[in-house]
Amino acid sequence: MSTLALTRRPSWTWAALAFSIFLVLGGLMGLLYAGLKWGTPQGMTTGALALVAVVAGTWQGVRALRALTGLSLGEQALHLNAYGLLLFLYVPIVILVIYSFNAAERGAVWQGFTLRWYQELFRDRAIGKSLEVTLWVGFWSTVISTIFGTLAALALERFARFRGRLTFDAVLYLPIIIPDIVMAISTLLFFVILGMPLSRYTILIAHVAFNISYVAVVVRARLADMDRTLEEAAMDLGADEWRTFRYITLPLLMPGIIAGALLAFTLSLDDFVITFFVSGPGSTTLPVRVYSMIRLGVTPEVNAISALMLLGSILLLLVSLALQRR
Amino acid sequence: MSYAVELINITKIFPTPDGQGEVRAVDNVTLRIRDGEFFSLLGPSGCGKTTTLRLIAGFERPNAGEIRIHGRPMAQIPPYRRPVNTVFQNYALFPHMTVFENVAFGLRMKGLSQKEIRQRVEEALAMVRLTGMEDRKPRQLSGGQQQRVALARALVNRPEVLLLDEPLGALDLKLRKAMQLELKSLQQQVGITFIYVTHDQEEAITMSDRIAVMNQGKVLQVGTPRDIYEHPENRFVADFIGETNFITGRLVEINARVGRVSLGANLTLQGSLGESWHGRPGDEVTLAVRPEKISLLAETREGALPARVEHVIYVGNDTRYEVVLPTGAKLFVREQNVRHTDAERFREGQNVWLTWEVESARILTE
Amino acid sequence: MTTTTITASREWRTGNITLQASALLFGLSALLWAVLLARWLTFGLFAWTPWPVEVFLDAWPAGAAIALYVALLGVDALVILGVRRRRRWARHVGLARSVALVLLAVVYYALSRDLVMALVWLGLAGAQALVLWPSPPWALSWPAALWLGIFFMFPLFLMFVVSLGERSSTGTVVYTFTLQNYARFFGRIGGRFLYLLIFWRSLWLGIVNTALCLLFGYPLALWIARQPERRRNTYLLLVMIPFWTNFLVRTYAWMVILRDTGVINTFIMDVLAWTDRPLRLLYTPGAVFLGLFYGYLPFMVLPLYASIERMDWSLVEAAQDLGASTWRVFWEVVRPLTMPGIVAGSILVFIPSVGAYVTPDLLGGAKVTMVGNLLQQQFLVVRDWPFGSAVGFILMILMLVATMVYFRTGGRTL
Repeated sequence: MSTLALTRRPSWTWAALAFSIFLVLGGLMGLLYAGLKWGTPQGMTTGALALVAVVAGTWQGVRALRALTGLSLGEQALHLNAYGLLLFLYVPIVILVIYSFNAAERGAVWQGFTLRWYQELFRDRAIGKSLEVTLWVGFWSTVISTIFGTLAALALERFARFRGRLTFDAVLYLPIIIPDIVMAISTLLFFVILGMPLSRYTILIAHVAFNISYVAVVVRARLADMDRTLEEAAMDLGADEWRTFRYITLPLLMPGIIAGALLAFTLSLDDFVITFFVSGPGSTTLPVRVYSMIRLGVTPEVNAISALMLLGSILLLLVSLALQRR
Repeated sequence: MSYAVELINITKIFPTPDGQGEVRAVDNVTLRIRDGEFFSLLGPSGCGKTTTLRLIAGFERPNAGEIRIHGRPMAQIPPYRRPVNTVFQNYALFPHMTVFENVAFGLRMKGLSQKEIRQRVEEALAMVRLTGMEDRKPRQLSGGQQQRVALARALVNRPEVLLLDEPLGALDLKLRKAMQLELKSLQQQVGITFIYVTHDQEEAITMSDRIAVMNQGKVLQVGTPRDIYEHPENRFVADFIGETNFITGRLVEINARVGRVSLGANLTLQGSLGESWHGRPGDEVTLAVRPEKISLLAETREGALPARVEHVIYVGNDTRYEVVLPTGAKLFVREQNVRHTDAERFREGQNVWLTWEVESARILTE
Repeated sequence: MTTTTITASREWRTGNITLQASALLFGLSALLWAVLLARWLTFGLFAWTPWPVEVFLDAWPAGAAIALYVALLGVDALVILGVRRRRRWARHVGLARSVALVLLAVVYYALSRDLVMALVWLGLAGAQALVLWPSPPWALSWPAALWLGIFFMFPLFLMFVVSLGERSSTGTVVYTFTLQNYARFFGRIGGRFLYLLIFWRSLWLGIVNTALCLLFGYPLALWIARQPERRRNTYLLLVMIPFWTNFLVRTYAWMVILRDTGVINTFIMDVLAWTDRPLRLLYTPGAVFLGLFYGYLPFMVLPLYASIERMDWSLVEAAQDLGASTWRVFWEVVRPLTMPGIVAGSILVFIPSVGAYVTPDLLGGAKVTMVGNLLQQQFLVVRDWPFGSAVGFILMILMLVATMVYFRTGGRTL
């Protein structure tokens, strides 16, 4: 078999590469088979052969690739790792989307294309309600946390020292550092002990609490990059504090504020754990609703709503990128 | 005499970054800048010149002392109500505004009518030769153009005083030379007092009516460029401006602001005493002589110092000689190459005699 | 020559804006009191539909409401008067009044559950305090500080207090101030350190997952950063999409693949027909590992990419020029320079991995209990809140310590 790799002619090298890929994939399948038939003579023989095929195929493939592209083993590994991981990140998502169009009521066998599950989603009143709650919480928590977070960021970045600055700075970072489950249980305790009935307002309160931190971090990063002399220049040209903020600081800070707001909105839409704990019976958000659907069993309807949520996230991301590029 | 800007016993103290100690960025500085003057603050980085400028602009408040602009005390006046404008070192053009909007900003803040704003911005842009660039964003301009926008943005407000913080620092050498002349003529044209901060001595000497040399928060000498160059009053000024030889010796006698200094090894020489010089015979003193003021002689003469040529370095328009006095002190001498044989007048190892005008040798205060 | 010493006042704004804004804000609240007072006094004349605040005040003597409104109206009018004359006391009175209104709003809400009016009062009082507060940084920060203080720090404190209590037989909390919940956590249950084991399992999963994400994520980040610019943004987007996608959805995707009637088992059983018993893939520790790695990989790659991209590549060339091998260049130059990214990424992966709830719940089934499941169980199923609080508190402290240690070590290598 080494005769193939030894020739310098590219067409032969391509063939060698193809063959080695075939060997590796076949070998992996063989290993799976061996695993299933472990203990039987048939399985053991296949396993041994498959192992040889994988090793030989890898060796052959590395040599062929080096001959074709001149990449060293390390660089090949780097490429393989990157493509492999990107594939790994997307295969489950793509499968999920594909199966949301599968006509089969249960099981993973493809039984034809259908939009039935999406139609059923749109007819589901409970999902509509939870979507409304999700968007309401998302919107208001974004508005409140963006304002509060931006103000806090301005204070921390613009005033080098004031009493309590260090403590405030630390407290502002805490919601990012402590696990969300801890935040969830402590907030639940708070509401229950104070006797506040769990509702969309309690969800909102909890969401604002963690979103303030994220907004503040994002806006602070932008502020730190900003040139202070621009503000001085504005004052020098006769703009008082308010007008300096209005005409110079705010426009320059806007991309950071928008990025922070979109992050807050996304975090609010995506949050499951905290919402799960502080949401009342009448007010669930979409993720909590989806979770209870999953707990009842994998259904094509869940596939469909997952696919829609995925689409929503991608759209939001694209909007965010477009706004920041502007 | 009316003063555009007066700084009276100004002190500005900053805490050190660790918060423990403090730095006197400006230390009891008193300056009086005349109306219509091109005044430079010259000094090495960290000498307090930029802080002085920021104090005048109002970005910093002094810990002690008083600042007056045309006689009005500025203590309670925020930067946006001071009759000064600044050209920043990095120009600080607003990146989200066009050239027109940048220049119009100050006028808009004053609440002028659209028509008047348009007219004055156009005038200002014409003055700095940027007509037609109104709708560009700052990042679409070259460094020199940005610099001129910054200048127009400040001048369009017709400030009583224009503050310039190393405005040419970011430009390349050729452009900088051209802008120096342009700035100077612009200043004469508009008649506004310019306060110019720079660390470039040549720039300061070329452009200024008067210069204040600063170091470590203190003003060491104020004077015309010629004054500063020809009659430095202390060692720092002499060293910072141009090239200087320092000779130490003991003052023997003073006679009509001329001092005789003994160098040891039976050598004496004469030097002039600065106006602010205080001392008496017997003091250790330093004498400063600029290399181009020294004449090299092949033979001795009354009052000439004997020396030996150590190195001859040919530098094109000049020849530099490194000579050693019998006391072991080394001096640089610069002679212009007027004739093509000038560079060969003295060889290394040759004995020579040095002489200079009494006025050219300054006895310095330490 | 006069030397005036200027006492540096920390306050810049002496301008009209502050005065006008505070006059406006106090005017607004005065208007509110006037309206409320007018409504209160004219209930007999008109058929007002009572607001919750009026229903609430109805339980009190009629004079109480009038006295309250008149007092508030009087104070606000006084403040407006003082402000318009630029009096110093106006600021102090106004501040005291806005603090009082904050307290009033809180008390009112606690008693009446009328959120709307409480929020209106809070908002007004807040805006007034914002304008009048003598320290500019706190004038800016107090809304965030107050929110985090009340709804984040105070709950954490409550959690600690509850952790010192005991569960009553009906599931409520009895405040006994004992350490027995902590003793239970660290002690043996039926001869085994049950809870410590769960804790250690979570920690171990977190450590391994962080290491794996770093091991695979770093080369990916490096690879993306070395791509030509156009393609680099595309690949970055490909990593960002999972980052922005709902975690629940991404975990669920693995359920679709791994379950007994999932994609893999269908392929093996129906297509290849190699076996008729499904492979047990879901509800295994392996599935939890896979889910955590899949879930948090983007959290590692993005900060790493940010710090690698910011790095000055001429330093790498300089190191190569000085004769360092590729590996040495990476270890001696690239790794130290990208340490901030490594620290940030590790923290972003480690903390949610240890505290994970969704992944072990959905992919691990009942088999792989982690701290997250334990907490959920104690709070929502067993309803032993004191013990749950103790576990939560220990988890929080451990995470804080781990973060600080990591920042320290990361900082030293920088």
